Amino acid sequence: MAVAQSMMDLVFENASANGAKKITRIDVAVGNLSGVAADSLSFCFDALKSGTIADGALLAIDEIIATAKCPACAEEFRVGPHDFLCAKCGGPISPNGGRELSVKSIEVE
Amino acid sequence: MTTTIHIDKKILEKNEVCAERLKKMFFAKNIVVVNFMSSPGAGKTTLLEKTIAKISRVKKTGVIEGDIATDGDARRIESAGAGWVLQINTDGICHLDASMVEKAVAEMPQDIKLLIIENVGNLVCPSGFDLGDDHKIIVGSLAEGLDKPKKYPGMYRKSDALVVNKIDLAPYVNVDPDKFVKEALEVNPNLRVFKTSATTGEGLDEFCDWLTGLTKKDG
Repeated sequence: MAVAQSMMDLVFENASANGAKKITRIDVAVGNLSGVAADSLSFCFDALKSGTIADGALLAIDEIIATAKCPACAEEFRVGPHDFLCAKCGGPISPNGGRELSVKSIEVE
Repeated sequence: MTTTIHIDKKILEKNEVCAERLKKMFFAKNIVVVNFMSSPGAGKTTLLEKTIAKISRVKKTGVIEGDIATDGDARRIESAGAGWVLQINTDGICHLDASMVEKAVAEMPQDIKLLIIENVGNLVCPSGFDLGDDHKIIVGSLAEGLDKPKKYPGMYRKSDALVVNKIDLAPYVNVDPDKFVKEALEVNPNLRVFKTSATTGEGLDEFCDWLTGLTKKDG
């Protein structure tokens, strides 16, 4: 909920700076390792938007999937939130990306 | 008419900006800052009580206590001999954020050289809010069970040190401390590991030596 509130603060701040009367769409990027579940963000968004200028807005979530290249065996693969080791050789890995949590753009009237 | 406004900003940017400001201030004043995180009941406060009792003569240590409610923890830490203690009650918020810490440190005495922040007991949200700290320490107790590092990977990934606490309970909770460490290292192979029992005192000296030996360069 704290994350959704921060998202709305950022959205409203930018909407009012641009003199918007209504927000119709919000585009956000959420990494699959960010610890934020897209469903939860949508749920909290629905609760927070009512009675605001974003009441009828669509929340479009672009889920970004982390990838990794194993330093030991060079295997390249997608990393899920519960993948901690190389899918091929079992060695330790460091994921690239997946921690994104940002507002890309909004559409306003 | 519909207009697109490009924002491209991190949702938690406000917190990150504030954390960055804190980081600069702590660096300028040469204050080492550690952020203690764990589930409720892992033993953070007892571990801190025992730690403060050991290190307060070596290093002037300040503590910020984060809790949803009550000030009992601050009183325990004060009795243990901390140089300065401040209790933050978040009134329902499940983590500390940088602005709470910024407000708290405004009251901190100038001679504090080590600041320990005890976060709200929660294995999820505190990992998302940087507090301008040099080190994030996750306290995992054996009584929580072997599965916690992999169930709460975000917290274990963000931390750089792990204290496996309550090792005296190993025979009773049927969890092998070495297996707990192995699970945690599979989530984050870079964790520096300590095994302690705040009750018996086992492992505390090693942990306290590491804490008092931390310098800004280590950060």
